[in-house]
Amino acid sequence: MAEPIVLTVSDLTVTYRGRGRVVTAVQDVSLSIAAGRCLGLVGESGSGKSTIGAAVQGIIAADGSAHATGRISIAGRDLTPITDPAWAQVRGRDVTSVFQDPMRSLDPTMTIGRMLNRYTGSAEASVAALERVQIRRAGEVLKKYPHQLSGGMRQRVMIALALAPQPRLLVADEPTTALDVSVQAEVLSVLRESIEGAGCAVLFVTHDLGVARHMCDDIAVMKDGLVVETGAADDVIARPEDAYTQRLMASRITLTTDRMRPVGAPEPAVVASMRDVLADQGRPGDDVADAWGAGDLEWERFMGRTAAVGAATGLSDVRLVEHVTRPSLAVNEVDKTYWSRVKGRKVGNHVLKNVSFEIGYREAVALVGESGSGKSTLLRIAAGIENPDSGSVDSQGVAGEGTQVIFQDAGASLTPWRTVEELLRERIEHTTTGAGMSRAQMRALALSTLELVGLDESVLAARPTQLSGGQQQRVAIARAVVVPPSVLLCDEPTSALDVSVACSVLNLINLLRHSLGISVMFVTHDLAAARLIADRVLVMTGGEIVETVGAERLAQDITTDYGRRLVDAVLA
Amino acid sequence: MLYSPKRTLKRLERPTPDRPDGAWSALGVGEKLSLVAVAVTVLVALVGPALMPYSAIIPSGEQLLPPLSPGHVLGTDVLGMDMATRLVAGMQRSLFAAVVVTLISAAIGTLIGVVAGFKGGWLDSALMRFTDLFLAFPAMIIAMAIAAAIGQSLGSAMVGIIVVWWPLYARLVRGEVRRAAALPHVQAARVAGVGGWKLLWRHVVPAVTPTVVVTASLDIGAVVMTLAALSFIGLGTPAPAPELGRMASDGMKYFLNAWWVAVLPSLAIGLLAFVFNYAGDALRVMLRRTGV
Amino acid sequence: MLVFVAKRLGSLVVVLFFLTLLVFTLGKVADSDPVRTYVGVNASAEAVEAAREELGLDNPIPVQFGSFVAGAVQGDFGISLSSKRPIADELSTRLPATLELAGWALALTVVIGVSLASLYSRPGRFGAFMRFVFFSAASAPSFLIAMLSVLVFYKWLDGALPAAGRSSYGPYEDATGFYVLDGILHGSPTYTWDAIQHLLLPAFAAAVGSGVALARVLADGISSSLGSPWARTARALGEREGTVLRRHALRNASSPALSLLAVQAGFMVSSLVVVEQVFSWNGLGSYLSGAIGVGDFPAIAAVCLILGAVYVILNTLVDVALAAVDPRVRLS
Repeated sequence: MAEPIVLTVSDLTVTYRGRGRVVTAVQDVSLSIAAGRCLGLVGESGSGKSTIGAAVQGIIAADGSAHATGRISIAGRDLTPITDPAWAQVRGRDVTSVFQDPMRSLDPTMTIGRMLNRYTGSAEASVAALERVQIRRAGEVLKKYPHQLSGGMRQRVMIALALAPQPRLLVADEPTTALDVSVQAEVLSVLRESIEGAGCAVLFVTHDLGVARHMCDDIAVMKDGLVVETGAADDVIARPEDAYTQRLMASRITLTTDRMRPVGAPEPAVVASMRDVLADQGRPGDDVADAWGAGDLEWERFMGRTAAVGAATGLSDVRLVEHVTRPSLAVNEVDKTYWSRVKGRKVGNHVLKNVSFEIGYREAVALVGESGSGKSTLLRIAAGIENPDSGSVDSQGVAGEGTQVIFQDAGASLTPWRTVEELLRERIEHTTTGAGMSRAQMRALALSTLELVGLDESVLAARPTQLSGGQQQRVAIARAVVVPPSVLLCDEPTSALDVSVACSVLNLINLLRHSLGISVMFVTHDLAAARLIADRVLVMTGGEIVETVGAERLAQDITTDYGRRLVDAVLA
Repeated sequence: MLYSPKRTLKRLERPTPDRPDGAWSALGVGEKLSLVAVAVTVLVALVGPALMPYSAIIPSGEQLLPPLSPGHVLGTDVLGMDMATRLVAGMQRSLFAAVVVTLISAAIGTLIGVVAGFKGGWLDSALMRFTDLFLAFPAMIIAMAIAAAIGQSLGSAMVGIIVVWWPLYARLVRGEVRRAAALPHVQAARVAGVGGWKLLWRHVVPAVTPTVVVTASLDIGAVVMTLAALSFIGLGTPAPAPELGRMASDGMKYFLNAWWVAVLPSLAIGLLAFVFNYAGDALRVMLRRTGV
Repeated sequence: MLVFVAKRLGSLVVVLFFLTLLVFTLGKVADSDPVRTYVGVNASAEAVEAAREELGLDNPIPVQFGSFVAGAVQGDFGISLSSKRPIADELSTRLPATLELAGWALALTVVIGVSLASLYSRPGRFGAFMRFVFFSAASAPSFLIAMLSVLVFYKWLDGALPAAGRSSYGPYEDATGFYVLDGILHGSPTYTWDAIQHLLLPAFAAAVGSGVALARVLADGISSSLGSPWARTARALGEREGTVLRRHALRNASSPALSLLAVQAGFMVSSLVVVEQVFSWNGLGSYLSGAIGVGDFPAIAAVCLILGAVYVILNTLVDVALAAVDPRVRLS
């Protein structure tokens, strides 16, 4: 390799001090990048990858809350990792960066031109810089304010800004995470072409192995502040050596992942839930962990949990009727327009255009689309949070218990000052099943459901703020299924989660779906996750369902242009 | 200020157990002191007048005695009434009036704000038009006009201030209720079947309460000052009632000979306002840190 | 932008109308009987009747309101009950006095606000101390500051600055009523300097409270701007802290500060009334407290209307200015 080394990090350790405790964010990390190469720094949240991104720009605060040791060398210049005056010569010249949040990373009071001209020197050079990131009509864009541009455009402007000083090293910190999937692919290709043109070294920080493989020559995998594995991107992806990397790889969901079995490595909490399900059904479950690990644990095994609810509550008339033809959810010609005032004029945003579809008994259907496609509005209408302008939704289904929702941010969906028992009881009280129950019966039902999602009695009296993120997630799911609804509506339940956590949530939803026999409507922007849960996938864009496709052979069967774009966006 | 470690720390500390002493231990020394100062001030205002050896409205010594005179630590006023006694009594009056004004304004505003924010629709727009009209008025001037129309007394000054103060709460609470009603946990509760006033009371109101409490406690200082200003320009109860603003403006007549007659009541007002402003801010900081 | 201005002007008229209605209504429900105040307690029944007619109080209420509005629009606020002279005449010399003082106070507010904010937003040792200063200044009633400044600059420094009135000399004939301006127009440095000296203490006393409030908003705005993602972007592009502050943070912090300034103008009115009383400043404020003392409600109403109108108009101007500065206001 003849290219000179641009960035060398040696023995970097960063600790943060706060509230009387010391947290080591990065420990003894060494890495280097040559000119023209891209190193992907991959890890889950809290792994320390963003701290390294900050350290190589010299923007770790020197206010006493952070402490760092080690050396950083950029383009031959030796630097200390904590802000020191020498960084002023480097930052903005030798190293620049692209940040995650395109909404707020540009000064809202300045036009793009005013910002960009400062670093390019002239309006003509700015136009050229914008054209390099494939912005058409660059002259007009220069006159606009950031809030007048879409997220993808803003991120292109950010790239143009970062490359304007012709840096030797570019730090890209999750540059596409906040963008829509199809935009994400475009911005990534723009970024890739731009940096190839610029010939600089790139430190690419991401949580997404797929993105890293797509973008990077080399990959360093981080966990708890340590680099656990480094190597050429293809090698790390194809033949992970470290156990954590292997787990990370196993947690990745693609369009070919096996839908009939749990995904990822066997996980204690989910295994416990599985045993609980089988115990309720009076069946042996000691072997599930082994069977899962060996790859012959099928969801089929968990079907049916009718008896358990009756046993827990002492009620004999739990109405779960098998073999029915009535759909669990029927959406008929639903139409919705949001009105807003722009410059004093009423402007309509037609978010749902005469949408109709049905979800059958025990069927799982995914609605896939990007932001603005109307999928979330449809979920809110199905949940009764909003009303359609016209059309109707029948969600009573067979059980007559309506719909329940698992929200994107499960923790925030639990009222912080109410106990878990109160939250579950509120749901039970307002159902036909729970109407006649005594407090003790409701408590028993709540407890049996908590056990089903892998929690125990101690959680009943806790408030959500006392629980960990994972426990909150489980409580939210428990509330949704404590009385099984006709349809369980899932609103992007995994999109904000790290891959390993997302896996366990997907497994739990699948387990509940099969064991409780409920229908599922799964709303997501992620085709791979959709395929894992759903039997049928509905592709939405512009307020319409443009395609319905069976989940198993999704990648092959999808035909519309828009659908293909979504398939291509799943970076395998 | 550059790269914030707080976010990282927050994330790492995610399973935060509820500490009952968390709020108090999160406070700095200054903030703790300010809360103690409020307690002391309230105590002095409550029981002080009863402990003083003189009457607040009967002359008890020579006229215009300077501070540190024997028997009269803070001197006497033009009628020979004991300044210290009158100040303590005046603080009691001010504090009582400010608390009442704040409570009533907050109650009216909260009621209107909650109804408007929760009900929405035409009721919301009607109530908010009304509120906005009041907000567009110059508050102090309207308060003066109202107090002047009702007559010279502490009560009329209080009414004047309440009339211009409640819209602030109505706006604030309406905004908070609408924000809270859009929170995921409220929507989740609605989906679980909770509705109507039960939803409001159990899931929305507790989210709004801290903001209202902090605002009200921050407002006490401001109301003390506003009442004093109205009293100073003649919209309070006339002498011999021990009213600080009035005492200050009456004292201006002898200002160059006996500065303390005017300055001491003004200082007393400043002290009250300072203690409550500082403590209100401490409360705000405390609430933000514990993230209730 | 035009639509925005038109809408703001429309709401300005509505607010002014309701302001007038409110003040008029208050006059009707006022505690004191205007006729009695006008003619005195011992007047005969005929005199009372004559006065009632003279004051126009025998007309139906809507007619009274109509003539009240018509008068107010033309600058006619009726007759003072205590001096029995047209209120407009009495106010004509006092309005410039108050406006001059208010102008200087507003200017001092900006000076105090910006200088305190630049001290406060500098991180480090001064933090706790500055907080203390902030809260003290924000908690001091304006008359306390007025008194203390008189004690210091007049009493203890032996008349270093005058503590009463607007000028050591009388007003010029045919003058604008703004003394500093008059001095300049008549080419008299002595007169101008004297007027400025008279202005300093009252303007300062009226400005402290608003200045501190402004400083807080500015400092908060600057520090949150400095912590924002786009400030981080600027740093990553190699901008020094000073440039980030000047180029980005000040710009973003200025619009909340500007709108606060408009609100503070309303509070300043009450400070002015108080301060005028302390400094025997012959403006609207001292006129108002005089009128309050004798229960002369028409006079009170006139002052409230004028000050209220000034406030509402000022607010509208600031809104329009904000929309011109910040593109987001215009579009939302």
